[in-house]
Amino acid sequence: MGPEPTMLLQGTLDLLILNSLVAGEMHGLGISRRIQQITRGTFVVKPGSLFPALHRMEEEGWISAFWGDSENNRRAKFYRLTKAGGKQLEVETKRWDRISLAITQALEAS
Amino acid sequence: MPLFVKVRSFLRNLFLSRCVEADLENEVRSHLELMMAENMRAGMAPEEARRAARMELGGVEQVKEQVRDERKGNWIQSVIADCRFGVRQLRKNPGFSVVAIVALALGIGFSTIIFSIFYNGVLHPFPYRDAERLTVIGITDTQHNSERFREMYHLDEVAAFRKQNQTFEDIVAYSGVDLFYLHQGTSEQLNGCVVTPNLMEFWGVAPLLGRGIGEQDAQAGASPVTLLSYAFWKSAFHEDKSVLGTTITLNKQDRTIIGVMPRRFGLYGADVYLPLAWNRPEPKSFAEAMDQHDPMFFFATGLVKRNVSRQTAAADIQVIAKQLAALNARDYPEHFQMTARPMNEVIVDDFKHTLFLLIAAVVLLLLISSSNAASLLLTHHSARAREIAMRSALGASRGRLIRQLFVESMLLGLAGCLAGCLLAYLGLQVVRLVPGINVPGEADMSLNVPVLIFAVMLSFLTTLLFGLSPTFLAVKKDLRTSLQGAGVNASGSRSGERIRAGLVVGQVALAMVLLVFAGLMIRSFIAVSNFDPGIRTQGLLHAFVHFPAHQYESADSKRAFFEQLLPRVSALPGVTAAAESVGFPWIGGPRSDDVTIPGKPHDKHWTTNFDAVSESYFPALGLQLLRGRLLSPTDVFGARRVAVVNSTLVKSFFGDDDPIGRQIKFNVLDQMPETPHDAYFEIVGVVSDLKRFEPREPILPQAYVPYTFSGFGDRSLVIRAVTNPGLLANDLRQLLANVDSDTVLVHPETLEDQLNKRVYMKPKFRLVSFSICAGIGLGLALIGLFGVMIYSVTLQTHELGVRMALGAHAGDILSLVLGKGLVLVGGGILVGLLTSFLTVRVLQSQLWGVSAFDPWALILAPAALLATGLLACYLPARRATRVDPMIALRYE
Repeated sequence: MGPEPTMLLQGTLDLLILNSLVAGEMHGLGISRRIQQITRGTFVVKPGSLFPALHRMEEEGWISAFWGDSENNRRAKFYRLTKAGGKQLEVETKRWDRISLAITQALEAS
Repeated sequence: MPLFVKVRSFLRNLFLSRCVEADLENEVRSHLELMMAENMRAGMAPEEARRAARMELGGVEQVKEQVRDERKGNWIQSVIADCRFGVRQLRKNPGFSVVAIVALALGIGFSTIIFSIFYNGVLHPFPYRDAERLTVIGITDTQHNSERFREMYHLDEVAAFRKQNQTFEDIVAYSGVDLFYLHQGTSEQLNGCVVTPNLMEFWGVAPLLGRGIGEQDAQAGASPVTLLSYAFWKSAFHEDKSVLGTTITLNKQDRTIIGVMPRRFGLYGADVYLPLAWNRPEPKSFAEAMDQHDPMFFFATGLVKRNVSRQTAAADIQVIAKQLAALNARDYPEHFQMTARPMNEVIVDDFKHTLFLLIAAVVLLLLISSSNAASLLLTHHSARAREIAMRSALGASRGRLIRQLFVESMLLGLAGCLAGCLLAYLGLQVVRLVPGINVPGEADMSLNVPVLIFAVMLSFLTTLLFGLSPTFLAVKKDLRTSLQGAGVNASGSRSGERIRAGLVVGQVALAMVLLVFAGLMIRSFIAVSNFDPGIRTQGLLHAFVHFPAHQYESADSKRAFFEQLLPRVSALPGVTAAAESVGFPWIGGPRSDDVTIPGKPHDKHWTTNFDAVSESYFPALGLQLLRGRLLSPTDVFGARRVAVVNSTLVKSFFGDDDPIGRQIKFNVLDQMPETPHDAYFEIVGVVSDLKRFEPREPILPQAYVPYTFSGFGDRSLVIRAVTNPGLLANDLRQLLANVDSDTVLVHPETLEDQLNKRVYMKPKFRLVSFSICAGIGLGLALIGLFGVMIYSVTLQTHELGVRMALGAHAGDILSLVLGKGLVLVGGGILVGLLTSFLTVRVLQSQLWGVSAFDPWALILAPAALLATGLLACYLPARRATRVDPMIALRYE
């Protein structure tokens, strides 16, 4: 029943990105920093993982991209959550809850 | 919505890749700048900030590449890139590519041609509605095992079948008739076909122009009409649409043209179709039928009802035929079975067996060509072992490498498919003209959709066959050895070499099987060519002479005509004898079901052929006089009742008795008009036998009587010449017109042409087609052998250099390499011989006068293979002896 480790990891990244975009639109670096911040440094998302994930999720239609100005007036590509992305976030959250519950139970049982 | 986004992304990635790339570039760059700005805010110096940002990003190109991998439609772009790379690779090695493509094209092309003949010629030849339900009604003589005893019937028999059956939707009757088309003062002979008026609905083909034959055209007193075939309309009227409603004169009767049939309607291969009423009075005798061009016998073709099997239909007709046989026992064998055979099967008949063998042959050819391509590909890949290892070391996954190499195979397969289709297209242009391809005239053997689908599927399968294993083999190699090896290190590709050797042995073996097949066909053809009919076949011409209706009906008028004509024909340059006869042994002639010989009572029918001839017939044919005398001019002039018989007649009817002076009566003459009845002929001489088509064919008793005794029917001219008599036809027409311009020379044909058509054509077709397959197969196998030998010599360059440096002579090297080749060829020959022994039996039915285990074929084929194989090994061996030890050793 449990997904493979890579799947788990990929799923986790998607979940974290989607979650960080709930607060509002953000550029790549912003997303990266926010994940770092809210997980208190547990996850550091490197550009090599971030960009492929962003582009994949954009192509899936979960997030949309546009060019805008950053807080200190630099051109940057911003991402925002779409309707489909919101749904996907719910799905991912539920899945994650199930998995983490299962793992917690498994660890307690042993 | 997400679906729309996905499709949009896919299309954008595919078609706007430049924009997408620019966007990515900008994004990564702005990301870098944002990080730099962040670092600078944290108090770093600009240079340090840039450095830290770069460190965190990794590499710009790596990030971009990772994004690209995630893109939708990414695989298409990489396949396109693979294709580009593949094309470059193939162009870099034109020799390899051309040989591989030609090999594949030959295999695919020939298979496609044969498939088209099979599919369009045998399986679906007819453009008629419900063609698969068309059924020919036949009679099998179960007692004498004569499968096709009869396939033609009196019209009232067909009418009875049609009226009383329960299993057919409808039945038509049709038959051929010789027509004479009077046209600008000359008579031209046409193939006519009389058909019952239910023709149009039955075949389900609408006329191209005008209307078809209908019920009203067959009624008594209806105005005479005719329906043209497309071919005749084209040749005689140049597709002029205004011929509708005009009249043409056929057999001196004006007929209105009511319509033209479409191009592929080819019933009976006729030029024109004439209506025939189901209830038309039957001609009283065969002679009357011949005189009035009104056929006595008809084919019966039915459209069997849906969901009714042919066995049921045959059983149904059997009931009706039993009743007919009870009324008219002479027309049916004692024990018979009615048959219902698919129409195309009847026409194709034993050509199908030839075709099945040809299919087997092209499958072998295809196997040779794809294993040829496989071994070429193996060589090609091994030469790139280092490149592949390098890619692998740089991180290319195994799947990616396999895909890239397989794309190359697919490109080869595609090129082979295109070239094969071109070859098939060109081949199918000439297939129609090849004598011996015995398919219905309606068949349209072209490169149509089913055939193209076949070619493409076949190419795909072939590609899998030849492309997969070399690819896997090339990628499987472990990196270390390939990178270490100096590229052409012998030890690195031993397994590849073994497979290559196996492929070559396989090719040689398959070529060997094809050679044995072709050898048997050649031997069979030689046996056919040596067939001795008992006379000299060169320089003999036969033609029918058609007399106008109601003229020349008496014996005297016929004699007067030939007494004028024959001397003039004899006087033509090159002609040594000119004779009159009724028939011709290789076409047919009068036959009497029974004879009466006083003192020789018999229970069984003594079937005898007879002919009414002039005295010059014997020298013209070259019949040997064995006893007594030949017919004399006075016998012929005086219409004396004398006969010359052949030795089979003497053996059959007289045994050891002396036939000279005995009387014989041909019972059939009693039913003929213009013929003396109850006529006994005195046997005056015995001549040698004639064989018709086959040594195994039984020779019938034959008698020759003076032609002047009767005036019935059309007659023939038989001419012996020292020159090619086929060239005399126009002179003969002229002479005939000089005697009487109303007479027509019909079907002038030399005996050689007739034998060609009836005897030599099929063996010749088999000979040519199998020889082509074997020749190409041999060629491909030799190319394969040559390639492997050259490659192995290249691999061994270093070893050979060492040997030579240590004192080996050129002769030693030569025998070393030749020995290796000999093992390959010998192995192939052994496997091939074994396979031939096991499979050759299937050929037996297609052979003529030789056994399937003919020693000549089984010795000559391996010999030819051995000789050419050694030649293919000799050139690489020669190259091996020229290896310069110094250069070879420097390879290290």
